[in-house]
Amino acid sequence: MVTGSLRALALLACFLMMMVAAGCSSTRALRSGDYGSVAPDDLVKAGKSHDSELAPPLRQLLETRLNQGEDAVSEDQAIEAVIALGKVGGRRDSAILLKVLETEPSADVRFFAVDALHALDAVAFQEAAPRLRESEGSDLVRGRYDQPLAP
Amino acid sequence: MFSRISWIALLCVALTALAGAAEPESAPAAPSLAERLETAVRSSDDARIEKVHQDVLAAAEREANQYEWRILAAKGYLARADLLRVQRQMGKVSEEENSAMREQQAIWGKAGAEHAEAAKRLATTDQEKSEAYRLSGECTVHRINGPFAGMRYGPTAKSDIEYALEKNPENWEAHRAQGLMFLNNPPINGGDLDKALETFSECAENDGDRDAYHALLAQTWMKKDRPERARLEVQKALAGNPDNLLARLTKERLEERKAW
Repeated sequence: MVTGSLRALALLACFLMMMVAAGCSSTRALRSGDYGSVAPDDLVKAGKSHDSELAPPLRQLLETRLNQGEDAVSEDQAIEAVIALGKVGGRRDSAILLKVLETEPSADVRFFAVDALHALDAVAFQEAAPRLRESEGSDLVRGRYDQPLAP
Repeated sequence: MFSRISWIALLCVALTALAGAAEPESAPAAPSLAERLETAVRSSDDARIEKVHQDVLAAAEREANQYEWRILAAKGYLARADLLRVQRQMGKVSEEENSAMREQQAIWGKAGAEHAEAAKRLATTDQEKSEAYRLSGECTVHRINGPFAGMRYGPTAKSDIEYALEKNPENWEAHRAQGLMFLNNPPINGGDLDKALETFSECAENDGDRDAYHALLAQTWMKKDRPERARLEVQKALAGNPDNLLARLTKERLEERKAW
């Protein structure tokens, strides 16, 4: 009886370790800065992890896109990174989101950055929204400032 | 002399009038009905589509050997069956309504496929053949209303759509048809949501960013349980066409999930 329970516990522990290992491997490329091999699905997992330690590499990924463009980080990766940052990030991430809203060339990425900024720092959002809305070139993104998704 | 000329002129006028009266009533110009059908399809209003489609069917009956009319007749049936599919998949319908709609879909699919078959025979260029095979494939998909029908019609539909792409790789409607198979088929039958996303994105990029492609992208993102991504595509679809039924119903689902 006791042996059976111990065996079950050992199996459960193995399963949990495998799950943790799988989670780590999916974010390894992101943590190491090898953005070329970060799959968009890995960024989705990062967003669902609720692991605030992933916020800095997500910030760095977005910074890399802004500095080096589409060849370094694709539009799809940037969208998933913005959505993930909106879930695992905090107020300190509002600076990079503001930068995305000001300089990111893709309207799709900016669309998601509106919601992410609103979710992470409502005060910064309220302060910046009128100015950003004014200079926004896309109707869809402009509309998003009026109706950001509730965090 | 003057009188003889007058008589000849009068005779000519009378003969011309008689010839006009004897001429059989010609079908309305295809382009104008094609435009009317396209506008009706964009409205997602079945009654409106049906009304134009009846005119198209009457013209196709009168001029059964005209490729254009056969194509339009098939397009009308396809549009009506497509609308039912959207209502079944995204709307809130009872099981009873669902099976009745599925049966109707199969009936329209069969009728559309018959016109597309005729168009295949009448097609003379690769582009025409591509469109006829695309319509035949898409209409045949609607005939699948159960596992046995799937085994019977699935391979035919797939090979028709593949042939359409072989004949004209720039036929983006055929790419969309292939994307629909990736979206709606189970994985064991070639379903693949990532391939569906890739296909619809390529269609939007290469074929005028149409609302239909964005609505399908939204539906695919919903199926991947990514409401955030679906929301942007719904907005793009509705910006292009506020009447797009698939986009409107997807918006309703997003609102229910508080993800709008």
